[in-house]
Formats: sequence, structure tokens, C-alpha cells
Amino acid sequence: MEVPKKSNTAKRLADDILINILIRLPPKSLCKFMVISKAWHSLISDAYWEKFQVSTKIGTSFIPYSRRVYLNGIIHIVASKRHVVAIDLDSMVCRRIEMPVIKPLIRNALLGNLTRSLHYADKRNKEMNIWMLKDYESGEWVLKHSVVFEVGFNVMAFHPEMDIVFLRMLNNKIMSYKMSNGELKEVCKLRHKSMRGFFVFSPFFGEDVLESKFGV
Amino acid sequence: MATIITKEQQEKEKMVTLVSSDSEKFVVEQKVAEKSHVIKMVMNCCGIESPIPVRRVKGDILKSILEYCEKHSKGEAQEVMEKWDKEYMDKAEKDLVFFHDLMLASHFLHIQELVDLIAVTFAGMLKMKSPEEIRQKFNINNDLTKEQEEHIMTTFGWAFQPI
Repeated sequence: MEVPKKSNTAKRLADDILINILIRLPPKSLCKFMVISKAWHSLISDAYWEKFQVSTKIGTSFIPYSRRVYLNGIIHIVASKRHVVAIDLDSMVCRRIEMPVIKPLIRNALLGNLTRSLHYADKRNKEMNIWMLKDYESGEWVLKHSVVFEVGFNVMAFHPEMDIVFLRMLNNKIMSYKMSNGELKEVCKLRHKSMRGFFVFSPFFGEDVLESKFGV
Repeated sequence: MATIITKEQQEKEKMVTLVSSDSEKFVVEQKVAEKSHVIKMVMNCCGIESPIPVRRVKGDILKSILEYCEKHSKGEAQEVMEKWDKEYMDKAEKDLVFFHDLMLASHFLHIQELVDLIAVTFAGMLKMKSPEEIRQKFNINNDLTKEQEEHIMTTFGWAFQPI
């Protein structure tokens, strides 16, 4: 979008508008559009990719994770160390869900979308427990998986489509852990040590949003 | 003595006048104008007695925006609204300059539903296009060097593969 560069405010507004549009595109288009111009490249990469980007062989990329998870029309926010707040965007009904376990430090825990339902990973020393929210009404969680690793790690992200959890090992490597068979695979090595969390960007997520709105 | 407020007066009280940047006047119901968060705040603090200037928005854009706000303040069924929104967008996206102004105005007036509708429509427009098509359509000059362009294409090779 070519908007006359009148002032910083005008430029920032134009950038905001463009980012608001870009976030609705599937990652494939987003990556392609980086070659349009310097401005587009920096907008796309600043916001999502460059600093945190680790592209992998399977075409999945990571962007910094936040403590908000959007799933089935509901936004889930880690509100405190004891609670998750779920907001239904259609009805705007808010619900407070108690965490399966209370953690003194939220950073060692992770809320996420795994195979299209809300999951919570809780790490204690070398042990990892993965909980799944079974019922919104009662706020009941079920312990889905429990595993003890030999080395130190951090839970980084859930895979939205498969039963995979991404872990960061002490040597800054990202490993994928498959719950069904316990398979641990190296995905990539991080360039930045400061990264604390990710959000797995699946190539088909953006498409879904567009399809549901416009049937394209 | 008690003042008797007629129905007509009651209706009249709810109306507000908005003035576009080119001095065009629009008289709309308060609930229509309220769809804009910015106008709502102005009405809350300054009341609706005097006309509200909308300095950054031209008459034709304001007219179209108010049309949207009016439709969306009626509380009609979702299917009806979706159909209406689609037609509204189909009409708007035909003229790129108009579409662009509409987008800026919806941001400026803070009408979140319209901002989202435009963004989704815009994303749909962009989605199927190649980088070159987008450059042409929006008159964007490619100022990346050959090396930078190649670097991007190698890094995100998978995105440039045909399906």
C-alpha cells in the first residue's frame, strides 16, 4: 500500500493497517510477499520472522509465543498463575478455568493448541506433564502424557495438528517430541539465546480463516 | 409545569450531525454514529447538539461508512449481514482509491468491525496474487537488491514452490 509519507503518524497508521491485513494471510503468501519491496520485507520480517525465524524442513516456522491461545472461536489467556480466562468471541462469554496445577513460575509452563484442543504443559525439573482440557463447563483437565527426560529442557510450543511438543534443550537446539511413540527429533538450532517461547505457525491456519469468511 | 416531549422530539433528540472534510453534512441517528468509537467518545464528552466535524474523512467516504454503520445498528440476522457485507465489499473493492480511503477512514474512526471486514477482504484480494502482480496493482517500486531478493527466496524456498 503506497501511502504518502507525510509524517511518522501517517506512516505508522499505514504500517498498522498493512500488518492487520498481513496477519490474515497464509504463511506461504506472507513469505512470498517479502520480495515485493524493502518496506514489505521489513514489515513482514520485523513483525514475525527475522529475529525469531527458524524455518524447518517441514515448512513450519516459529514466531514468538504469547500467553494467548486462539482456538475454536475462543481466546484463552493465562490470567494468573492459577487461572486461564477463556473468552468466546461470538457470545463474548468469559469463563475462568483453573489450571490443572498451580505453578509458582509461569514461564516453565505452557498453554497451547494441540490437535485442536486446549493443552497445558507443566514442567518440573526433568519431568513433563501434559494436560488436556476435557470440559469447558466443569473446567476438568485430564493428564494426557507424562514423561521424564535425562537432560534439562524447556517446553516451547505445541504442534497444532499433531501430537508433538517442541522442546528447547540446553544446547539451544529445538527438538520435537512425539507423544505417541516418545520419538525425539532435532528440528533446528536457535540463533538467539534470548528466545523464551514460540508459537508454531502452521501453513494452513490462515487459509482456514479466509475460507470460513468468504468461501475462497 | 411538566414539559411534554412528543415522539417526534424524542426521535429528534437522538439525531446527530456529522460534517465531512469537504463540509458535507450528514444527519444520522446517535446509535448509527456510535458505531465509530471515536465519534462515540466525542458525543460522550461534547454532546450531540452541535455538529461534529470529521475532518479527515471526505463526504463520499463518510456517506459510505455511515451506510455501513446504519445497516449494522439494526441488529439483523447474521446471514443477512454477511450477505450485505459481501455486497458492500464487492462494490468498494472495484475502485482501489475509494477502497484505500475507506480503509483509512475505518481505522481513523475506529470502527473495528469494518476494519476487520476490510482487512479480510484485502487479504483475500492479495492471497492469490504473485509479488509482481501486487507491485503493479499498488504501484510499488521493488527496491530490494538482487542479492537480498535471492536471499529471501533461498530462505523461504518452500513458499515459492508451486503447489
